[in-house]
Amino acid sequence: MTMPSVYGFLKKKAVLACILTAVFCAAAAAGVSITLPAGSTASGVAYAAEQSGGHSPAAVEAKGTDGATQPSFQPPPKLKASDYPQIRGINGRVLVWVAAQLHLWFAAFVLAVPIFVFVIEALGMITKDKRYDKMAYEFIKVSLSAYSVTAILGGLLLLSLVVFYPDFIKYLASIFNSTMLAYAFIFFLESASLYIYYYGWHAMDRGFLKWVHLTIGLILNAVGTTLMFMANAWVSFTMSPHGVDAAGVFEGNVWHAMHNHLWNPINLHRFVANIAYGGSIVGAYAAYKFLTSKTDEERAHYDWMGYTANFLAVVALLPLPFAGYWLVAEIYAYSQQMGITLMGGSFAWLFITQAVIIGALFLSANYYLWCGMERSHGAHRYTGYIKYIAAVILLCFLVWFTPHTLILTPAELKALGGQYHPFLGPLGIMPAKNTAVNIMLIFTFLSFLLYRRANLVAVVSWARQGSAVQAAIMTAAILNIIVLGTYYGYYTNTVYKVASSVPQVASTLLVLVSCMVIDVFMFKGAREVGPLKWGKMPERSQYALFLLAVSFTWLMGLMGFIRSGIRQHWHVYTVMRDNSPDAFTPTIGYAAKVVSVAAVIFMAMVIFIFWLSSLSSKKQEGH
Amino acid sequence: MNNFAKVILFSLIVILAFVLFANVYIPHIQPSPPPAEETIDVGAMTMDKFIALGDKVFNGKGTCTLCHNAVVKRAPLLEDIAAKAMDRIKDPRYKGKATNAAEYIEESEREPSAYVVAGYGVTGTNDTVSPMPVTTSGAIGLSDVEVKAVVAYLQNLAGAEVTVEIPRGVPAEKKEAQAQPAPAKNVEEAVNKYGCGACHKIAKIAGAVGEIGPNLSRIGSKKTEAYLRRAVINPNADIAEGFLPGMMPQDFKDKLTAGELELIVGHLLKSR
Amino acid sequence: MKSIITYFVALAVCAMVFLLLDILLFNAQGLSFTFKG
Repeated sequence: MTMPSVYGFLKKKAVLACILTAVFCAAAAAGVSITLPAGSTASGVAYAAEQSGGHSPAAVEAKGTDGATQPSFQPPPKLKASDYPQIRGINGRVLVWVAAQLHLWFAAFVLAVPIFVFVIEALGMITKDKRYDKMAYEFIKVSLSAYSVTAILGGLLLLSLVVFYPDFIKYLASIFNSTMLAYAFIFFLESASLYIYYYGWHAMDRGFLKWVHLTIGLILNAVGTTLMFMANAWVSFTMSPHGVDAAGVFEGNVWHAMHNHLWNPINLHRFVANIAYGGSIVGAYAAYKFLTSKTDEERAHYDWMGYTANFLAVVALLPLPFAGYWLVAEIYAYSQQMGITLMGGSFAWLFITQAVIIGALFLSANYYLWCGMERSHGAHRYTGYIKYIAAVILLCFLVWFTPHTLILTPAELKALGGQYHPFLGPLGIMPAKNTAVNIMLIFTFLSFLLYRRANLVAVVSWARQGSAVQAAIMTAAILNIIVLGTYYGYYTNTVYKVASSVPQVASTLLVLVSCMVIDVFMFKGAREVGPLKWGKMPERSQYALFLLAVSFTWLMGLMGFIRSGIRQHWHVYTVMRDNSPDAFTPTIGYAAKVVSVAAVIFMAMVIFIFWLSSLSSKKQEGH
Repeated sequence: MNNFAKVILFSLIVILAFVLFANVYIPHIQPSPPPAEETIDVGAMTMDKFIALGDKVFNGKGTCTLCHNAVVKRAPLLEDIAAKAMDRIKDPRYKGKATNAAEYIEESEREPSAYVVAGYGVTGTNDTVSPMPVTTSGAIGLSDVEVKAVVAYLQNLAGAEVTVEIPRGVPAEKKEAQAQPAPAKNVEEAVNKYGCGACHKIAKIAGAVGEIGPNLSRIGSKKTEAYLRRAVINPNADIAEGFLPGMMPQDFKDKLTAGELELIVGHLLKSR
Repeated sequence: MKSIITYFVALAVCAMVFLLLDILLFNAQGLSFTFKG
């Protein structure tokens, strides 16, 4: 074989390997419950490590002391308030809470960045556009400095748990100690691959070596995802314990404990959310760099970086509600009572807060797209429509903002004076909200279509009719959504009310897919009006990116609270009771304050890290 | 203002807006505190108290009203369940073993799927599987006494005769609960362990400020050691003026260890 | 003019498609698509 053909062969191989691994990762993430042989999925790696490790040390130890043939495990201790160490002046629960949240924010960021750095690097190799490679490198540099902070915060979390909840962590460790060892080892692998990936970037930047580099990026992602899945197993075990009997006595198979009911739903939800979150943080980074840029060239680069990061964040945000729906459905399937705690009762108001923040995110994403149209020369053809789109989206947002009908416990009903919120009208009920959100999605998509064609002139002969068909599809879909929302939402029984949301969502999806397909064909080989003027963005547009990052951060914190909070007064749901003085569920207002304080600490740390990395790059420029 | 300050200010304003939203716009609801883990004293229980216990469990720890309420109707209302029970048992769809209303209600708590009221089954099971959790296990975890108390409460609610029997004798779980706690090491522990402070005022014990029973903060100057000992183990032997017999638990003679009794009596004697 | 005709023809077709979709998805959930509820 001559050199070129070897290269070509390897190139094909590498692509194949990449695709295969990606498929496996995706399958593992999607929680495909087909039973693949151990070791074939990312999550299976942990299983394989478990298998080869044989009996877990706890089992062996128990064997040694009891002299019994069967490994025996202790049930979780029944704790008293005095079993929880108190340190004057420190609220243990708040400390654990904040440490966990900070660790999670950083972890989400450092796990997400390699995912899209990998995608962007691959894009750069396919398009041969050097800008992609430069941006990917800058992304990974940002995440590198956050990496060590993630580890430190993880340590802080563990320490605060050991100090304030010693018996709880002892019980968890007695079940998961073997995976905790594996976790340490995989963490080492993660560090190694991250450092090779980062420091080898320029050394492996061409030819075959570039493919090796890309593969290291893939390994980095596989290892990182495995790490997260393992940590998720511990967390989801506390929500839906598996592999233990009703009294909490471990049955000895750590895979059963890991593969508990909520593990895969949480895996998927966190995986997707991490990407959206990482995108939003990088977007904020680019926005700040844009604002402080001195040259047009710099501004162009950071404008483009911000646009790409925002695009990734929004694309990852779109499937998130479906992942969330699956998680909630599985929570209901696991425990009806936990489901009602989640969606009824006081936690339900948390979802109102969530809905409002997501609505705000939609508004800012649209605003950013509209500002972005100033980059192109042909945008003036469409700018006139923006005010109508804005009006519709705002209207939908207001419907969504109206608090909705809630399932409350009778005590809460009394406190509130009836099931309806005082400001509630018919707009507060679910069908109105479903209708609003679907229309909001369609109009956001319309913003995106206008942005796409702002700089393009279609060359196909049927361009006008194509647009007419697109408009017709949207009109019909919106009519359908409104009819379903009003007629079935208000004039029929509950079963139809709930059922009608399915065709509503289906209509939206149909619009998204069919209009996009038409658009792609319509603008095939389209003429550009002029080169895109990257960097020609008003400064205020960048604040949309900050809003995105801050809202994501805060929302993640709030959702972290509910994830942990629905266990109520249990360390491990139904198995190990929390009898500490802090076992009560705090109010949403209180949680919001804790989350806000944590978010401010997080922001300060992020600013410090970005500042550090800017120091190092200044040094490089200086030499 | 430079960019850095502007961005920080903007971010803080956004966070502040969220906090305000969560604290002002949405209603303040205090989530109910964790259900207390209490041992139920069946020995001294009258039927009225038993029904009251059922009321407490039904509206509290049992979380029954999350679904069985008139507003959301996630589950059938139970106001007249005792009256309807016999019809349910005769229904061909009934799969349980109950022969009367009390048994039927108890069975429903233990095996919710024994009879599923039409329209309330898990979707797709054609009303053969109930979505209701088994109340004796999991996060609810009612004891046998509590299960029966709910039956009494529901029978009473329907205006029917309460036929369920208060489980007398010492139930297994109670024995366990008694065996578990270690003897108190000092008088403060002993007083808190038996909750004396809930009814009596006792000197030098934080929280012992109750007013239902006689004030004991100076009792040592008035009564002898023998009187005090008798007053603990056989409360009705002497009743202080202005108080009713039968208010104080009668079973301290079975519950207290000899050491604990000495601690308490010794402390009271010193309270002058 | 041509695009206006296209719009209304497409609208009619789409309306049929969405109606079919509704019927299909209601049926898939074990409900009949009806105006009586």
